[in-house]
Amino acid sequence: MSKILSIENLNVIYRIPEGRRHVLRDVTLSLEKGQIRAVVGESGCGKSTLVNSLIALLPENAVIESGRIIIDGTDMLGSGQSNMRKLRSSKLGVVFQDPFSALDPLYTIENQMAETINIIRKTNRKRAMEKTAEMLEACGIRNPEEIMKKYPHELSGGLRQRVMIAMALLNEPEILVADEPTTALDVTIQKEILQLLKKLAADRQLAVLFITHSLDVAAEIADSISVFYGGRVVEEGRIRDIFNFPLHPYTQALLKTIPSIKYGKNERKLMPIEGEMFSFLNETSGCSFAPRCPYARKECFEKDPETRMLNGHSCACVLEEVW
Amino acid sequence: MFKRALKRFVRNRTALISLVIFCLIILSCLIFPLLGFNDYSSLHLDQQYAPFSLQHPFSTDNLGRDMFTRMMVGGRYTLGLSLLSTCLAVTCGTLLGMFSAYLGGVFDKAVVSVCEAVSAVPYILIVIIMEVSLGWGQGYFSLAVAIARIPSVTQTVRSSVLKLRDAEFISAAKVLGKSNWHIITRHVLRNVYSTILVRFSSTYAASIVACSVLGYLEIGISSPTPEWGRMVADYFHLIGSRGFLVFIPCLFISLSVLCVTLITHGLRDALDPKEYLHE
Amino acid sequence: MKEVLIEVSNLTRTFHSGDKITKALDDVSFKLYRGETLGVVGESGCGKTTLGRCLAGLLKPDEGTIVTKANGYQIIFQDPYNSVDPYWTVESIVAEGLKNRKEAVGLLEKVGLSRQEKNSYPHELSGGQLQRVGIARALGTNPDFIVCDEPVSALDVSYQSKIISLLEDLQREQNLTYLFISHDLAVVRHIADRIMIMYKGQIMEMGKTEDIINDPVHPYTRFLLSAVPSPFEEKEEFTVRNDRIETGGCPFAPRCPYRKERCLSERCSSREIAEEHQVACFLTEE
Repeated sequence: MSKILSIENLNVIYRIPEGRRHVLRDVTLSLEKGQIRAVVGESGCGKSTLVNSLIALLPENAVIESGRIIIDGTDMLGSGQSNMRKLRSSKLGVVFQDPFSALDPLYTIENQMAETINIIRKTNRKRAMEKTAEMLEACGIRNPEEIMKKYPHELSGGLRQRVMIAMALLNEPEILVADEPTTALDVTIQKEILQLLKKLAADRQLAVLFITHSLDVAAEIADSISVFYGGRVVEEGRIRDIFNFPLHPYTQALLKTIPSIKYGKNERKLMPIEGEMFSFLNETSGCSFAPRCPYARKECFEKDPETRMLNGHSCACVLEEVW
Repeated sequence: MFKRALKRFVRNRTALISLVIFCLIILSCLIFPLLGFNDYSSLHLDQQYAPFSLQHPFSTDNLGRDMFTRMMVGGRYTLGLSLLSTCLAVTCGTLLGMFSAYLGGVFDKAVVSVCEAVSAVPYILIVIIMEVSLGWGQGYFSLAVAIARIPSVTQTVRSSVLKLRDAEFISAAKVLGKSNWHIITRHVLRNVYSTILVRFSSTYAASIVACSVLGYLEIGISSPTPEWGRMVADYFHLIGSRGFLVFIPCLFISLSVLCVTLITHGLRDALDPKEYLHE
Repeated sequence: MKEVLIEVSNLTRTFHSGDKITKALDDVSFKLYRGETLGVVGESGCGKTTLGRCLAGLLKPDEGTIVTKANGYQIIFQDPYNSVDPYWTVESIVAEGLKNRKEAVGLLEKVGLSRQEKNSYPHELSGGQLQRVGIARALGTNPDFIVCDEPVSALDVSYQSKIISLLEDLQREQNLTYLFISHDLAVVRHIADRIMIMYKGQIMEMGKTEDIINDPVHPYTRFLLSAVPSPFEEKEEFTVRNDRIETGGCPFAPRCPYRKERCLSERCSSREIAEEHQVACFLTEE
């Protein structure tokens, strides 16, 4: 297995009138060909900033302070802006949460998709159309010619998301970033999309970075998980390790707080996580989770936790007990 | 909430300066004619085009009338009549828009069609029709300008109330058994007041232009009323020799419209609820 | 003996948009017992929200009756930010339905908000806190029936369990009856005594939570359950067809792998296959 994407110690800062907000802190993660990695976290944990820094769409007041984003051996932050965009667009495809706003309502599917091809590889229209149909078919659309003639609003949510995936894959990228692609969909359609992504990862050796807020969905699709809290990767590891032996107090608390289809009324008491969600607006020093952590000690509030690794399972917590 | 909006408005330099200038214009229009330095209507044929001085800051016109006093009195007409028509238009438009959106049904359909019909007719035509049918007077003049402005206010208010009507807090109030009156006064008005305020300001700017244009065309307002648009027309034949006579009223019209427009922008930025949500 | 609190019979509601007519509710009948939580589950467009709004009196049904013994009803909404007036303080929001404004603080404390928060404006609170405000407002009129319309779907997971626990505690204390609408079967499984599965405006299956989850009968229920993500569980694989045909009978027929001729032409009425377990499917006849 070869590494296709690696993010090393990425720090992103937002400048706002009141000062600086440290939104990503020493984020490190990597992705191999054919691997599906889930990034799990609640709102405001920094996962959308991660996506935006990958696709170079950070807002104007955001700065990548330090760190590296290496795609297929090239450091993206080292090369120039326009060069970077070009490189990214050929190596990296993106699927967003809301498939409706991501498609231009005024163009038919075929026009939007053919345009995407033309920008990158200057092929003729006929070839572009063939390629489009091929890709739609690969994304499980049985009647691509018919779908290509339609406008976005004529398609159902599930179909639109398939079109989005096909569009992201048109330039044969090696990495697919999927930003909550199933959150707006019904469970039955969610399942189809998850299966499609799994199949694409296996057949095309596509590396998928799957952003989600749901641990259950992550478990359904991913090989490994990175759990985000307060702009930091608090825990990272193989899916079974995370579920069976969660190390970080946040991951442990998260697993105890989610209702499960396995347990009925009065069979299990949900354990709420006390306190308010981490917010970059009232930033503290030390571990982001410390104010809500039941095991927090004095040192947790004072210094940043170190990330330690054991058998491919890493965790950013100072407590000895977790190991 | 209101304090915060005020703070942001004050922070916006352009809007604040515009507000100060506009207030100065209005105050001088109100105060100077009362002091009675000069009369705006009496003719002094011996004092044609007097040099600029403290006595005649804007000189005198071809009939020897003091230009400054004429401008100040004219401002009362232009700014006053357009304010009256703006108040009328915004009040009627708000009520119509709010009730038609909130109540829906036949009433809504009727309001929408009438608005569309009225906005299809040029406002100059409306004023002429009103003048012909009702006779001429400054009240009718304002009413006519107002009627021309009602549809756009109605449509804006209607669309923001429509967005609000499906808000869940309105449903919650209904389930609590609250009356439509309570919901409209306590929830709907409160939530659309910023839209209305911005609309008021932009309508005012448009009304000043409309008023001047009508004055210029001598529709509804005729000489020797020193309405600013009328003054431009009165002195237009002198544009080659005594250009300042045309220039001064033009300057005041443009300055007023510009100030009101900039105030509108300031208001919109200060009142946009989306902005304070992110604060 | 369980006391029937609300009896809904033959509820029908259609929506017109342009020439398109959608049947959001199609001949829906069921009973709600005092003190229970009935979970209503289905995908978007199945009519669950319309059902909730009809029961909360926000929509008038075209046909059918709702006979209720409840002393009052309230509704809790999905989007906490949209369900409170942004210009009102928390205290005024809660006091809106009260005769005596002073009771508002007590209600706020009851739902776990502190006294200091009563003067806050909604944008100063988190989604979880606002949902508590919504619950406090609903409790103000002392209802014995509350429609919970996806009350936790818009919340982050760490707030979800708190709101669910709060709803459970309140139910225990005040013997409340809930109609709990959700698309999330895991949440419904956790909170509901009985579950009602809806599809395109009709009730497909209804029964005790355990029976529906462990022993689903209707093909649609099985399909839905097979799609719920649950880590490391052996699940039934349930493949459906994707035929585009018109149906005058069962709405699920075009996708049902067990479809027969009559499914497309004839509406199957609900039949009781076990105690408190009704299924609307011809399969149960065999």
